[in-house]
Amino acid sequence: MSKLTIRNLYRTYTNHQMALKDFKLETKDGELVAIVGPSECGKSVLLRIIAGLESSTDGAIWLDEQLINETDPKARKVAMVFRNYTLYPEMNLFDNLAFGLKLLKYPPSQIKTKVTEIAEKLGVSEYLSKMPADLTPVECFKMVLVRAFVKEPKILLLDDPIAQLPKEDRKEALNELRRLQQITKVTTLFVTEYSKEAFYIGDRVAVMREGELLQIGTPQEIYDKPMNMTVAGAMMMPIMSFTEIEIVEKEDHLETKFFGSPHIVEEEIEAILRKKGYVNKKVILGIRPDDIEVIRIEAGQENNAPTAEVKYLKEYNGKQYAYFDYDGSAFGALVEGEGKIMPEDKIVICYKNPVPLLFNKDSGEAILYER
Amino acid sequence: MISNQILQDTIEGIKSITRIDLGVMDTEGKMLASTLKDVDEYEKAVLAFVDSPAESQVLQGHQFFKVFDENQLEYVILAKGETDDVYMIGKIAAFQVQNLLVAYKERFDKDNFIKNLLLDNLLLVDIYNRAKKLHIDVDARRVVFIIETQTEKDTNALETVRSLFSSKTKDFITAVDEKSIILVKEVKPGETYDDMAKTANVIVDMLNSEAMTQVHVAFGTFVNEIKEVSRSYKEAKMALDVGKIFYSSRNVIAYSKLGIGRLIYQLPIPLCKMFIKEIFEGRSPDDFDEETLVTINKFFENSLNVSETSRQLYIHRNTLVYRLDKLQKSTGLDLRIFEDAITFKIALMVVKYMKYMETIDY
Repeated sequence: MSKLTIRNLYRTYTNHQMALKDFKLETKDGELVAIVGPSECGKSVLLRIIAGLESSTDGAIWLDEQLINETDPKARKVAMVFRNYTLYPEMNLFDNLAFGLKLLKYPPSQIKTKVTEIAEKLGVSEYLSKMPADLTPVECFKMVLVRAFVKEPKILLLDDPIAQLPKEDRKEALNELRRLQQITKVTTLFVTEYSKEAFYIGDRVAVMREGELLQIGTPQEIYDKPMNMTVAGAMMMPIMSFTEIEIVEKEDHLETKFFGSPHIVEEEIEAILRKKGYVNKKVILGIRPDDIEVIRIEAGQENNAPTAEVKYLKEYNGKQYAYFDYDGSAFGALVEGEGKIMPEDKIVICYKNPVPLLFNKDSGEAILYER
Repeated sequence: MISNQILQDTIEGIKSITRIDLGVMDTEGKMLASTLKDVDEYEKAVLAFVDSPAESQVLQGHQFFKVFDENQLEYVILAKGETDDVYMIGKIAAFQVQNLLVAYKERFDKDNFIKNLLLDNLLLVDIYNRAKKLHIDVDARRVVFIIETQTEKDTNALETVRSLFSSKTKDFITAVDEKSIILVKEVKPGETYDDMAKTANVIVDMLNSEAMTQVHVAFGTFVNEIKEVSRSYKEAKMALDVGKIFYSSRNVIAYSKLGIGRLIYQLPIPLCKMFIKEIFEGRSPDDFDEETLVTINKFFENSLNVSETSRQLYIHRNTLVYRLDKLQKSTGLDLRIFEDAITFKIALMVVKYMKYMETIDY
């Protein structure tokens, strides 16, 4: 169990591209941090710098009490698994696991005890005499992880390791990773492009964009309180919609209007909006599909309530969502019960989130809570 | 030629099957590998045996056997015990070591052959004759990878690459200098350059995670005949160079995908100098401050899109426009115009190239 601390890390390339910018991260003992961001956002570079395969332009990396910026990669006690991992095809699994230790010049007797012990601990002893060709893709992945754990690393770095697995195997692979990581309790950084994976596996999730850390927190924290529109827009599955609303001063309260109907701003929120000077200004409201309810209206039942037409239905995590356009923006809404709503149905829209997500129109920063 | 470790492994292996203690000595009576204790006491007996014409002999409760390398005595094997069974096992051990010698020699010869092939040190007739002798297929489709490590003589890297490919005997792994490993790989039918790029990526990722070394991998084009392997090697070498100059953030570089870098790399330096003088009128692009260079690169990255660039640089649109105007004043090039942008981009690459050529001149 080890703690990784990264402070003010910068990486600039010779062509002045900035891969990392003032990056900060602090892990807790034995936790799994999932780092998520689009390709080229600097997440792989970050791992390579921690491993010592690339150097940073500025900043400090601490592993426990030791500053490791200048440490030789072999002496860092870091293990890695990258996207293009493979097992040595002509060696059985025992030799595959032992190979890294051989390179580190461990005596053969010690290698044998170590490999056997760890295989036992992780419940993979039965595989040791097999050849890689006899394993399924998920088993290969598992053994590649075990091979990393055999080195007894302080930190395990995983750079999008499940990318080469078929889609249907990925969840199982993630479960295996979780299981092994919880047995070994090795602090782990897991990099991925998919927020779904990050939310599924991470004790905490770190959201990266263009070399910067936008937000880090437990999946729930990020879901409840995204710090800005980028995080909110990228992290929510199904995708969050944004719409511009105006906070209007009425006689004794603040009011705002969306989906065609007025809403009174709650007192607590009103206080914050007043304090920060958003009265009579426009802000962005983030709406999660889970926060909208839609009801089908039959012909002849129309009233003044805002209506829209369902364009298509889509399923996420076993739930049905209906998608529709309203006032020029696209929205999704949770559909309760199967078969109740079909494409081209006319629907009434009800917004039901008691804690709205409001963002500054220019900066995109969250308004109602702070870092 | 055979390391003592291999000899030790061999006799330990035989001992674990037969429970007979064995030893391997050189012709001067020095024990190279052994499962016996008190190895010194055999020296005299061995020296006597070496001088005798006998192929095998029983002395001091041990049986001795000779191992020859083309009629030259190479090793003496000793086996503990006087029975016929021990004689048989000693013979087997001698036979095994003999075969190891042959195998190692062949491997050495192959390695030598591949090295000379890569460096164009062979006559055309020799290539075919020797390839035939060494059982190397002359018509196989092949491609050459160069794996450059950051540290010289990185044995871990070499071991890792060997484990990834070696025992498939159709691939050859060798080195002609200290910093790089060369892989001559047979291309299977149906494999494309994308597959090669994938192989290269596997090499990079495995060396990163197993040998903990940063590497660059370059590969040449496919060749259909053994005599052309050196061409693929030269291409890979050039790709490595071009990659280092122009695409420093890439770890894998294919000769077939060098882009503009390929053209610039061929330019004579005086021509480059003229071009730079024409564009920058005697100024060096190094004179631009950091801020300007970051701006230019971001602007190119975003396909000359002003609003996106200013957003990513966290500056106001007008600030960016001002910077571009300033640049136009000093160079006469307006980066918002496609034609000027290309000129500028190429000029920056030419400068990189010239700088690189200067560093290797020294």
